[in-house]
Amino acid sequence: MTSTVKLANVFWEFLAALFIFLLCLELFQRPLVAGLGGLFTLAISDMTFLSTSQVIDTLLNELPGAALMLIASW
Amino acid sequence: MHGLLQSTKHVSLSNQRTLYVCFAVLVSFWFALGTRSHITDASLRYDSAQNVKIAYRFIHTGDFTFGGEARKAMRREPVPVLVAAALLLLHPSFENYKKADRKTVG
Repeated sequence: MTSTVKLANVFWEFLAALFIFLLCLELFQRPLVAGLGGLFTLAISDMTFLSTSQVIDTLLNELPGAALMLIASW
Repeated sequence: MHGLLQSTKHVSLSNQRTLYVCFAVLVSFWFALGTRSHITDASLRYDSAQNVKIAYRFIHTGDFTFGGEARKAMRREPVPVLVAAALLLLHPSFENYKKADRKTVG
């Protein structure tokens, strides 16, 4: 059951990644530049936060909080 | 790079934005599925365990608690717990856990 319930983090990861891209689209006029910015931001976020075991392998609220803040920012 | 920027001029801005959103959804989906490899069977502790207990009890009893007498310290953020509860309810493995509950209850 432990690994099953942790799959909820996949949903939050998807939302966080999607809204990083959508926020970049709001920031940059050209979608191509926004896409490159979004990919760069996602890469940095992945290395520093989104794929760390303290975030992915637990059910702490940091990841949902980050995803919901990105949604609210958009 | 300059050639790529030039080529996008032939596509209208609204079409570019639509393509961008499709690209964002696909990349996000691929990224999210890739994070599954980081999930292990390591046990949940403290706040994580409380979130799971609340989600589990919420499905079984409708109570948004992790058991015992209600205390101020029991307050948890509801949205992550509700998402976990929805996953437990929708995931096909959950039926196995519910059957195990019936056996222990008797």
